[in-house]
Amino acid sequence: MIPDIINNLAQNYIYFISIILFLIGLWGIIINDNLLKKLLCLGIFQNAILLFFVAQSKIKNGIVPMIKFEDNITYSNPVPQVLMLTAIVVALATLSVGISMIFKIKKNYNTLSYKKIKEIEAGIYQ
Amino acid sequence: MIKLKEINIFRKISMNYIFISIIFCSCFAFFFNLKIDNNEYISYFLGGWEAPNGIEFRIYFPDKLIACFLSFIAFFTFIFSGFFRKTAQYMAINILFLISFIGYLGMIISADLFNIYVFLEIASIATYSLLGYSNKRANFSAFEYLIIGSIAACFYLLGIGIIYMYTGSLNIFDILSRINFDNINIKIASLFIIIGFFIKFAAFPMHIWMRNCYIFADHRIVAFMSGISSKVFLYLLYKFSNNLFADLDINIALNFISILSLIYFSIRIFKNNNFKEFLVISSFININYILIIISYLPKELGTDFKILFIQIINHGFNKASLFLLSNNLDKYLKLSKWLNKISMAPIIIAIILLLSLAGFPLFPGFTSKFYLFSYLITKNAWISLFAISLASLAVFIKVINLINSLLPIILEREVKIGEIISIVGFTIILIITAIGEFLLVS
Repeated sequence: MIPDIINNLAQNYIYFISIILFLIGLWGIIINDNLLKKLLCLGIFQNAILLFFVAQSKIKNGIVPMIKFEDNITYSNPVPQVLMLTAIVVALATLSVGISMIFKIKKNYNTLSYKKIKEIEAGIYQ
Repeated sequence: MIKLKEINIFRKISMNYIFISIIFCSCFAFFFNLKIDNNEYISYFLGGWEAPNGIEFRIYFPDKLIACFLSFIAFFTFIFSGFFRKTAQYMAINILFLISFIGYLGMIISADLFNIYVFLEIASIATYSLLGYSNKRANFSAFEYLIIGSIAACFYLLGIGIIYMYTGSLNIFDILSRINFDNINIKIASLFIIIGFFIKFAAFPMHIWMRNCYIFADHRIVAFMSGISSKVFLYLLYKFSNNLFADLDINIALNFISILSLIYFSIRIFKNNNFKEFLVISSFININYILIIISYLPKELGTDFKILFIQIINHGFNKASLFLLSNNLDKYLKLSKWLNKISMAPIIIAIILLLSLAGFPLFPGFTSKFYLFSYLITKNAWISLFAISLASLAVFIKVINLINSLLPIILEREVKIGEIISIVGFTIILIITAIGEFLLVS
């Protein structure tokens, strides 16, 4: 039983790393008060999923998917890697829009604390 | 350096370009309407790669109706927001508007899961910037939406990652031939995808972003968003529950959530004084009506779709027009001293739309409610029926309160002939729509 689990862990350790990163990101988004830290955790959260996809594409003893015109070569699956290229660009765009918003928030409220901004807003709008 | 004249020319060109492209989209959608019959579909391959390998656009009978509706709402809001001409950076806003519109259209017609993700992000990123530009409060609430919207998109991506792992394909119709729903991991993947959609269309526990964004953002953008955004994700949920999750039993969960939220919102609606907040909460209520319809529709794409479609178009059109008028109405309700200077036509049209929202006979809102009730009675869904009637009653009481506060202002003033013509024209259009919907279903 236990050797099985260890064996499983050793073979699929990359998925566990991605799950841990995923949870760190989600946890960070929920508990952090600073908006910039929230955004950084969002980046970690997105990267965990990129790692999850790229880990799928790796085949044991598989090489980089570039055609070599030789027999008996195993290639890794290129599709998830290509998909993740798109996802990286999308994540980058989201983060840059977020950072520009944070820049404006800092200018308007002179703070980046979520609680303080909420307090200021509650004072104005009620 | 570009001279000021050239900038003005660019502005004119961009505006005309966007105007023409939206008209073209509407025409194409209408063309689809003529071309596709009930069980047929049109399929497009991109880049010369056929379906399982390449990206495929597949347009079925319900897709064309929703695409037509989306282009109509975009056209409508774009014209009646005055081409966003009074805003400071209106060129950028026009372009972002078009990009988000393309994203929402693409999500509906694409048959590739990853392609849907890309369109989702295109639409979302444009929407974050559109919602955040007007003032500092809008900027902050758009940031909140950015965080929670990205989490939703990531959940969706994780779901399709797991599905790709177990099936080796991203094309929905190719996946259907390979998927095995007894596998627990596939169930978890579907759960991730559904949670992503739930956040995006603001289902009950995840609805707070929508309230903040819709109240504080520019009302013209909100009109576009409320007409299109949540409807697209609801429609995607419907589409997926018919093909991808057809063997999963999600109906009970959908029903449970929508009944809970209807009861919550029918109490919550009385705790506000702001006109926009009333509109947002009534949006939540209507989203849950649609969710209840989705949970009772048979799992076959297109059967009994008309009931869902009528609910979507009536609510989308009604909310888009009410949000376009909402800025004026807030002023009426707060500052009555300005009243002598402003025209009375918008306020009367808003009253007519509010009556339609409450389900007053002769108007489209009545048609959709009538078919909703009669459909649920045929399905023996008494608990859902109770929740819906509770929420309808709450909206009705609130609408009567609102009209009561608006009526004295109207009665004091004389209405001009031009205003009367526009009001009568608008009412006739609404009545014709209602009659047309009656003919469509029966």
